[in-house]
Amino acid sequence: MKQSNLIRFLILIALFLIGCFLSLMYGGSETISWHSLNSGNFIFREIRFPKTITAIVAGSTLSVAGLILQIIFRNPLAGPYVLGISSGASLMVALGILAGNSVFLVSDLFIGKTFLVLSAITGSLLVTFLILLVSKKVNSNIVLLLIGLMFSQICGAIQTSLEYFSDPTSLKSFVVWGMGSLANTTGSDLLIYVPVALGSMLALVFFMKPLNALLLGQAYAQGVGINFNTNRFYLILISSVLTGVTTAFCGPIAFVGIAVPILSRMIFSTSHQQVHFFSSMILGAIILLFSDTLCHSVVVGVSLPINMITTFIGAPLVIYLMFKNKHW
Amino acid sequence: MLVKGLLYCSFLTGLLFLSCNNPKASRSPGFEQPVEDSGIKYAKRFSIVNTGEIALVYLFGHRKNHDTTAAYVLSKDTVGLRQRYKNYEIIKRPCQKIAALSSIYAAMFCELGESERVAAIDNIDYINNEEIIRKFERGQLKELAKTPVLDLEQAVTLGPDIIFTFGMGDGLQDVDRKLKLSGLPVAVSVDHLEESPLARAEWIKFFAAFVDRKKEADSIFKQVEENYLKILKLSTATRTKPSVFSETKFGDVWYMPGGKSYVARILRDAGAHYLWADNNDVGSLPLSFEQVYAKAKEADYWINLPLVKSKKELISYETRYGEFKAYKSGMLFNNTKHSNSKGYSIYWETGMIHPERILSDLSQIFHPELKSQINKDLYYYQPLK
Amino acid sequence: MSRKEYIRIVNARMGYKKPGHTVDILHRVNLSFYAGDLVGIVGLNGVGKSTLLRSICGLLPLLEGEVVIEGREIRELSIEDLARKIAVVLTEKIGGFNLTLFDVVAAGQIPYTDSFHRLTNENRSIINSAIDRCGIKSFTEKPVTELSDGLFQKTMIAKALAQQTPILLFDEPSAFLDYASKHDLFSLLQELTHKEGKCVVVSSHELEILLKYCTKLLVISPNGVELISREEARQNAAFIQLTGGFL
Repeated sequence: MKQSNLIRFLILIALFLIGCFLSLMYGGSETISWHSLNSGNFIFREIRFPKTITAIVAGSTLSVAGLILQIIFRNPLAGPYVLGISSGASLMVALGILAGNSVFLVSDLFIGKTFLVLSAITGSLLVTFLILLVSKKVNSNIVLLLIGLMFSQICGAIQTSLEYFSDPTSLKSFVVWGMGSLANTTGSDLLIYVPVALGSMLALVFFMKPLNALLLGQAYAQGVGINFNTNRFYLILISSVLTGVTTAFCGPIAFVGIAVPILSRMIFSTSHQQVHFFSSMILGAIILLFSDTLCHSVVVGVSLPINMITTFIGAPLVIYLMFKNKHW
Repeated sequence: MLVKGLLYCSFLTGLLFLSCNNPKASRSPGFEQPVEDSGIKYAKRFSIVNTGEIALVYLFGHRKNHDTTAAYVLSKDTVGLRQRYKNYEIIKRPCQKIAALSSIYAAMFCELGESERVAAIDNIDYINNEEIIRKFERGQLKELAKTPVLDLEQAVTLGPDIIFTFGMGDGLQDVDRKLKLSGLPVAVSVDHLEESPLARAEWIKFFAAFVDRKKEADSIFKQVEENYLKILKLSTATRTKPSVFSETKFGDVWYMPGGKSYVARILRDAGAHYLWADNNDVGSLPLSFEQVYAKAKEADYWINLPLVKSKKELISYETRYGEFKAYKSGMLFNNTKHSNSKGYSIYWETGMIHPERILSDLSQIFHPELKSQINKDLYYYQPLK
Repeated sequence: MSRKEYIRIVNARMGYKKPGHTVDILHRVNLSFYAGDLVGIVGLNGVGKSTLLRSICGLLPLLEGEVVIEGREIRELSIEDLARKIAVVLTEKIGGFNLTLFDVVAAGQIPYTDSFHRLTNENRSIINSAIDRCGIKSFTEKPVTELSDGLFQKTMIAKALAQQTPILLFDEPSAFLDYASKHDLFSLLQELTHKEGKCVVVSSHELEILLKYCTKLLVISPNGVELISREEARQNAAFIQLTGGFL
């Protein structure tokens, strides 16, 4: 690795640690004093700590999912949220919660959680493949974005009609979940969330070469000996698992997936995807850690929804890129 | 704008309150069978068994089957109670620090003269009670749910003796997962699942048990009951039953209270013909403007117009509102006579404790001839000018 | 002929599969290309030049018949093996994602690098010499999106060279090149075939240049495919028709 890149990585790691510290110490309404940092402190142990871990995992999974999607579609404006993949996951979770037994699904039962995760993954897979099918017919980045928007609108509409006919109990649990939050994961959730996320990330390590080759497009990737369809299938699977598992536990989180890989390419001027893989992981975590801290400090006494902050960061970046029309 | 949004939120939550009900009692295992005669006359969703110093309080919070969802042992001295009452929440009473996460619950304690024990509320914007507001201004009151999500960290730091919150009627499911982890005692009130106004009013006995104010609660409720029944007698004797409808559109949907709802019941008791009385729903009916117009265009009265302050304002939202006969004849009554600076009416706060006031208001509105007999000023309602 | 046969096409039918039917482009194609061949494919637009090239390198499955690469049927070869035998340059544009000229040429070494595509010194020297041979050394770190069309074309050619294959296929590589660069390119291709014994198949509309450099011409017309030597070209009816009588 180039020395300048090494320095950049060290800075990112430092920011990451600062983010962890801020989120742990200031990511809430109460002040935590140093001497209360023992395992007996409920706020620290059951509220702050799971939330910080969730911020890290959610940030990195969504960012890496975005990175994969941008390469698969060879479109720097792709991402799980803007392409409607998060909405697909949400819809499936909504179906699960609203059509199924909500008590069973939302409580701490392992089977219920697993079912929730699996439905979210299925939802994101379905939408990704639909988008893929459509993307063959269009060759404009912006049009693809619009199609993704339509997909998320469709999913949203189905969801709204489901909510309309559902009983208040299911509605409440779903509405709260649908707002997107890092604070709802408990320790036992993390026991599912973290291994699934880590496992998919590890799996992705074996796809670094295809990821690099896919940048060249289907024909050239095949030409240098990379089986395009097979690799693309596995990469979509991984990105869907990453998006799905995070959506299952945190609800749809906006714009992190699209913004982070772009930022990563702005910071590291390399096309080596292993660099962007690691930097997207760290950057995604940093952004959510800081967003989480911001949530609790912008308005005193009120914690803002996490999506408000991430949208404020991500949306202007996307608009900027559309104007610049630069190939990040 | 923000306030309006919040109020709409609370209005929607209010809609959720009106949920379905099937009064066939069954009891979950793990608790002692509560003695049926516990001095509770109307309410079906809780019971209290008093044995000496100890009060056992049961919540039948399951919306559909009335299952016991929580049981509390309340006592001055809690030593040694754990062994005998394994599945019960053991609470030392009178509770010193109470978190009342709904303006109704805060009002309950004010009514009982125990406002000093209220240490936290949900959001000051929904409070009309002077004592509570003053306490908040002195900085002695925490707001735990300024947003739709409970601020768990503040709640844990405050460490209240009991948290009163409302549930959707799903039992344990209603308690926030993390709140449950914190071990703070929670009472998920399901007063809104009661079908009759008197049953809801009787819930004051439930809250009183936690502050050891049985006597006061009994006397307050007795007063309410007497007054209610007195007016009920007058209003049921009336011969004309003016037709009435309620609410306004929310977005595109007109959420009309169901025929078995609390509102429908109190309208019937006030001697009115509620146009959706035949309906069998306990919750709200999502209707379109057309559906409401077809049925209610000739209705005599129009009541409960959320957040509307004047006829002019009403018409500014939707000019077609002017087509209703009730609008033209000026028979519009809103429950906003006393509202706080944020536009939140005390109707939502004390109306549940004092249904006799609502009944008195409505009976006099629908039957002006009863004015002399009831002889009370309108308390919550006023004509919309 | 003692030279090694690199590509043999036997009774091939080439074209596209579409839902419900197939679009036939070329029928009964029987061809052989050998080491040292520099074959120029000529024909009108849409006659099937790209189809032929894509079929040879396996991007387009044959509808019938077989393509044999160095004695082995293409379907028996794994995609990795194929990448070590055939390099292609197509008309497709690539770019973005911080891809520099060097990165694109380095992609030619993908069949030889480890699973993280980390470059060894040997990889690097192969890449650099490919860049050198195409005369684009001073643009090595430039993002491909910022390259002119001519430079981009050269970059892709360098990528193909870096792939170190015995067979190279080019689809209209000279389209965006200026006069001098066109000649540079074809002398490079000549060097590859004559000195290094590679087999190069290149489609182009530049008939004069093809006549000057190529050893053979493959004339594709609606009547079929005809492989002729350079010398036969001026007597070939299909070729003459292509020139429009101007050559």
